[in-house]
Amino acid sequence: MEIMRAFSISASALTAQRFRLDIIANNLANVNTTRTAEGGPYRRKVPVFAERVEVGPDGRVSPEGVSVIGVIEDPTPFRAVYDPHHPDADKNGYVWYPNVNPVQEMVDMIDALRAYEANVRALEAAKNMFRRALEIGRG
Amino acid sequence: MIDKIGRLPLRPAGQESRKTGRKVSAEDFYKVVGDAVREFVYSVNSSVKEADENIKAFMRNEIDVHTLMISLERARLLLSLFLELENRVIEAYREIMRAPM
Repeated sequence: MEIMRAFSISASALTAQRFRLDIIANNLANVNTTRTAEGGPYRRKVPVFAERVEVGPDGRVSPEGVSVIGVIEDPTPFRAVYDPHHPDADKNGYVWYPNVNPVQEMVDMIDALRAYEANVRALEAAKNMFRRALEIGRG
Repeated sequence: MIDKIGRLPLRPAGQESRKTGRKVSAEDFYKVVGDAVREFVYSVNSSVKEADENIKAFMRNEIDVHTLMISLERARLLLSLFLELENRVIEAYREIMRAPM
């Protein structure tokens, strides 16, 4: 049903923003992590979204929302802090901390929250349109 | 209930269809309407079932909360659309039954 497409589009966006918040929370959780499975400090992760479209049998392209296609690592350099007593300090006494900037993560978090809210609004608008349509001819 | 009412002669037999211009028999018409109603009832039923399944999936921590809420809302909207159609059909039926013989 046509109106249900608006639902699934908004649902895909909500899932994407939820996933983005997971990544941001993970970045914040690892703001001081100096050890990872790959060795070295934690690298900031960034989710990558792609537009999802469906091509019908008649060649018509219809929007289907957004999908998460992966997570990439932020290549910016790590933060160096001089702390010779830290167990992970290198021979010069520097500890390499993750390239996570808590301020930037907070801004991203607000953005994710607002984007989530906007998509909930879009969903409510679709729902209200449906309800209004049901009221046609009543009374 | 809906099936029964669907057999009311909504369009006289043998009337030409406006779109195709060919004759549409009453049987064809009932079949088309009946199939459409049946398909719609199935889709309402399946969306209610899906919402039910999603509640369980949510309890098992398998889906997000918005997925659950959207499926519940979808089921509710489809159900209210179904009730609206049912009310219209029953109203039409009562109107006809009220006609003086």
